Amino acid sequence: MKQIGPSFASELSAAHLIGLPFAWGDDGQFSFDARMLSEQVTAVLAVYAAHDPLTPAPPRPVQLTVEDTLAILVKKGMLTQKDVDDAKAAKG
Amino acid sequence: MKVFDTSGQQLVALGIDTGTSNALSVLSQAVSVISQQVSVLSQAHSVLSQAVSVISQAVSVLSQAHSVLSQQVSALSSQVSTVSVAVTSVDTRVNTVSQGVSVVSQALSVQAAALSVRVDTQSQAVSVLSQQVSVMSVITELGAGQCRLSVKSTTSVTLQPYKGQLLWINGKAEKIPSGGVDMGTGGLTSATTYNLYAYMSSVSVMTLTATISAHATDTTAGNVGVEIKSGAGTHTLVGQVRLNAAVNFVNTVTQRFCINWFNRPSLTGFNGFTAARTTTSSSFVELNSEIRIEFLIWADQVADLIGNIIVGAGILTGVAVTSFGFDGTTAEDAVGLMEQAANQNENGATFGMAKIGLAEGYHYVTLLGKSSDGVSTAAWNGAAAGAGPNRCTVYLEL
Repeated sequence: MKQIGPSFASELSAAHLIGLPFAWGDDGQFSFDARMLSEQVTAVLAVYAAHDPLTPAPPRPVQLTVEDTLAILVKKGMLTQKDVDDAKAAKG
Repeated sequence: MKVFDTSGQQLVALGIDTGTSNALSVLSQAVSVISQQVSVLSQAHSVLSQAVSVISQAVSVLSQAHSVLSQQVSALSSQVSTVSVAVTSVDTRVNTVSQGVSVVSQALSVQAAALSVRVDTQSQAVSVLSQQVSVMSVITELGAGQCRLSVKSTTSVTLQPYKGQLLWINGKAEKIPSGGVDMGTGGLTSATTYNLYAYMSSVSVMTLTATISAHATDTTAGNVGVEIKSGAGTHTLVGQVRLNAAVNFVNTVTQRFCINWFNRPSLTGFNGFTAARTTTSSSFVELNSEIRIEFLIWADQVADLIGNIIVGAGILTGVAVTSFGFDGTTAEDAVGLMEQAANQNENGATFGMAKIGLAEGYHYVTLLGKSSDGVSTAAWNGAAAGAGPNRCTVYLEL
């Protein structure tokens, strides 16, 4: 039985199979709930068949705060620190 | 005649003839004798006078003694009189007390007789109660059964004596053989739950039989309260067994397939994930059946559960939700929630519940999971048994 690697979740997402009532294991075992339609099961198994367990997971999105963004813009010379301070003061 | 004095000196000489002289001589001798006798009498008189004097003194002493004794007699007489009065008084009192004692004695006698009757009655009552207690004691001690059922091998179960060797069957306390009573798998079917009953064969040998027939509480006199095969008071319930897919008896931490009606030991179940289990499901799903604990239960029992869960780094922004499920994916009212941010590693929690009201017979408990947003991947850790504590496990106690 083929192992399941870290990219499998993103591959399911690409196939629009996220959120369905089933689970999988790193060991390649699936647990399909009785509510799963047969074509859904087939689709999941098709993704599994095409899956390469050695493919790394896609990079996770980086979440930046407003402060982080303003600091980067100041560092790039696109804003001055005064612009940032004035904006904060105006916002009160 | 010559007259001499007492010293022999001649006083006178008288002219006296011979006859007269002889008479005078005789007289003289008589006088001499008389004189001697007078002398003796005089001495006797003196002695007698002294004796009289002594006697007189003795009489005087005796008289004084008589006087003293008379006084003492008088005093004693007075005392005797006083004592006599006292004795009379005491006699009177003794009579009074004696009468009182007699009355009390009669009263006591009556009360003793009454008490004796009551004691006899009480004694009889105690005797009856004692017999009843004895009977109750036997029944209570038995709980109707001094035995335990266990899996002897994959092909047999055995009913052994436990805390005694009596088993109440059909109104009698029957003895369980010291070697126990065994039963094999012959005629039994895989994945089927059976009630086990003990009965006495036609040759009075205790025997076990397995049947799916329900049990009931007997109301027949002499067998009241004994759990029997429904409609058959000759068969006493002793346990419940289930055969696995291979038609074997089994009793392990993942399959508790042998339980006792009497003397129930505490049973534990345990299982865990051998690999990480992941889902994006927005509703509860069984993450993997490998974590199931299968068990048998009586209707009056409670199943206590503990889940130890560890989630990995699979969740991006959601929450991994975990619960128990009995015989399916209906989540119990016990939930373990764990938020797992993308940049975190692992997160663990323990949760538990006591499940009551399960129907008698076969059940399994499993771990259910879902992703709170139905998008993020929620992953529960797993590892081979004995590889360390970094895996999700379920613990059951009956």
